[in-house]
Amino acid sequence: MAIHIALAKGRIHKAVMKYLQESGYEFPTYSEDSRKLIFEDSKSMLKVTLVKSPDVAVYVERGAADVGIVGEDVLVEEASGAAVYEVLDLGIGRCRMAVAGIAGKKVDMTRRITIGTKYPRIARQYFEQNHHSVDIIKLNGSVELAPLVGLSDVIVDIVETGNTLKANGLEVLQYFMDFSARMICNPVSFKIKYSEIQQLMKVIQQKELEV
Amino acid sequence: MNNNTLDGVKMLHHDEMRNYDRIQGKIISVIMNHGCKIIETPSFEDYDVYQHFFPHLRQQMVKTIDTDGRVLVLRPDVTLPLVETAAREFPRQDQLLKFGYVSTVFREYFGRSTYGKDFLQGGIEILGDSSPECDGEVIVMAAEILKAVGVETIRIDMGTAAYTQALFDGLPLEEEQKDTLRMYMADRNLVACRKYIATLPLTGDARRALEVLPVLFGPYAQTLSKARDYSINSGMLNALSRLERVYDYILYAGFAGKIQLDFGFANRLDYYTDMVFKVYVDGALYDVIDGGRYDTLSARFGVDRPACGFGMNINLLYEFMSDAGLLADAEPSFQLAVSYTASDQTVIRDLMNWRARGFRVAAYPDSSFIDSRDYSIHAIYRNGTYYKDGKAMTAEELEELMRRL
Repeated sequence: MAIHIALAKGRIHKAVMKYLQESGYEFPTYSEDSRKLIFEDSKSMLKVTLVKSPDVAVYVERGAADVGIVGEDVLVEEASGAAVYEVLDLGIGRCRMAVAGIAGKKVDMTRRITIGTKYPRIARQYFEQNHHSVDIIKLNGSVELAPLVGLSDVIVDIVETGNTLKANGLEVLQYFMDFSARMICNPVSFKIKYSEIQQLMKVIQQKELEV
Repeated sequence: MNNNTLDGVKMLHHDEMRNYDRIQGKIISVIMNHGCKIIETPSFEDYDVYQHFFPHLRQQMVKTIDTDGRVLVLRPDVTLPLVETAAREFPRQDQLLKFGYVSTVFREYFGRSTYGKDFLQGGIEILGDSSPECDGEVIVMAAEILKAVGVETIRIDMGTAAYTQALFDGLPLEEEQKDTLRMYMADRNLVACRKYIATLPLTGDARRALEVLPVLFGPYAQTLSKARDYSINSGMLNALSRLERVYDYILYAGFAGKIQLDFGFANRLDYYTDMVFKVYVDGALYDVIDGGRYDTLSARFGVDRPACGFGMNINLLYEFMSDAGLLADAEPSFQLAVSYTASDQTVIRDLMNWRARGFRVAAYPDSSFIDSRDYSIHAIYRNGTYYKDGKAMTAEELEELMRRL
C-alpha cells in the first residue's frame, strides 16, 4: 500500500525530500524549485504533497494524507487538539522560541505588558505559566517592528541566528522553548499501513543517525 | 435580512431523507431482531449532570437556558440519560435490559470532507449482563448492521481496557505519573511517551510492556500471543482470557475474519472497564462505530449493574456509502405529473383513485414550472382527456404505464 505524506513547505520539505532521495526513493518530477505540489516516487510507494505548515495537521487528521511532517511549533500553535498521533521526532528543523525586546531597554514586568507575536497560543501559555498578565497582538509577519513602533512591549518569535533581531535593534530576553520537526500520523492509517509507516520511520531515523 | 451563514448545518433533501430512512429502517430491524427495545431520550438534558459525569463533553455541548434560568444542553449523547433512567425505573440489579435507539445527537463531527454541528446516532446498550457473550453480541450487532446496509468490507478492532488497567495497577508509580502516561498513550504521542517512560523508575518487564502498548495491534492470533508475552501479572492474563471468550462468540457468529486486536485504545480508560472496540469501513480513515463495556457507570446512579454498548455516527456512514456508491439512486418524487389549464371533477377523482392504489401522483396548473427530474411520466389534462407526448390516453392506460415503471 502506498503512503501519502504531507510535508510542510519550506525548510522541512527540502530536508525530508533530500533524506528520501538519498535513501533510494526517486521522484522523477521533483526538483527543489519546482512549483509542482504533488509527487510520486518511481515505485509508487510514496506520494508526497507539499502544503503550508499549519495545514499539515488538517490533511492528516481528515485522512487526506496518512502521514505528515511539520514543525512542533506549528503543531502546538495551530493544531493542539488535532486527532493525530505524534510518532517520531525527526531532530531536524530545530529552532527556539524567544521573548525579545528593544536592546538595552528594561521591560517593566510588574505591569500588564503587550506582546506582538505570530504564536499567540504559545506566547500566552509561556507568560501565564510565569504568572504574568499579558495582552496579545496577533501579527502575521515582520514581528520585529512591533516594539519599534510602540505596538507592543516585547515580541515572541522563533529565533534562528538572531541576525534579524540585531538588524532591527532588538535582543533576546529569554529563550523558552525548543522545537524540532515531528512526524504525525492519521490514527487509522497508523494501524492499516503500520508496516509501511514503520519502514518510512526507519529510513528517516537512519538518515538522522548519519547526520 | 442576512443570508443563513451558519456553518455545519444544512437542509436534507428528498433523496437524502429517503436514504437516511432506509438506513435507519435496517438498523432498527437488526436491533429489534436482538430483542432490543427502541427508546428515545429527551432532547434536553441538565448541564450539571453532564458536567459531573461526562466532563470531557463540556466544551462540545450546545447549551441553552430554560424559561426558569436553568442551564440545559441539547442531547449530547444517549448513554448517560439511558443508564440514569434505567436505574430509576428498573432498579433490580439483575434485570436484563436491552435498548436500541436512533437519535440526533448535538455534537460536532468531522468526516473526510464533511462537518456538522449535529449528527444522527444509532446504537444499543445492554444492561445487566456481564458475560463475555454479551460483549460478543454487541460487536456482532455492529457488524450485522453494517452488513444489512450493504457495507461488507469492514475491520473490527477489539481491545480491552482491563489489560491496560491491570498493567497500570501493578506499576510502582504515583497516580499523577500514571495519569501523564495515560494521557500520552491516549494521544498515542509516541515521542513524548518514550521520553517519559525513560524517566520512570521501572523494571525491565514493565518498561517493555508500557513501551509496546501503544503499538500492540494487528491480526488476532499473533497479537494475542504477543500480549500474553508482555503480561506481567495475573490481571493482564485474565483480561486476555476474557477477550478470547468474546472472540469465540464472534467466531461462531461468523465474523471472526473481520477482527483485529488493538491494545493501544487508551482513550477514556476511566469510563470503559473491559472490552472496547471500533469498527472501520474500507477506505475511510475514521471509525463509524465505537463502543465497549462500562460496568461502573450505572452504580453512580445507585444501581450497580454491568453495561455494554456502542454508538455509530450515521452521518459518517452515509458519507462513506455515498462515496462508495452504496446509496439507492435518486428517484423522481412524482410517478405521474399531470398539468392542466382547468381542473374538474374527473381529474380530481382520478388522482384520488391513483393515490389510493399507492401511486405518487399530483396535478398542477400549467402556469407552474416543473423540473423534469421530478417526474417519471408527464401528461397534460384537457377537457376530460389525458395526453402524453401528444397522444390521447385514458386514466387506465396511464395507470398501466406507472405500474410498469
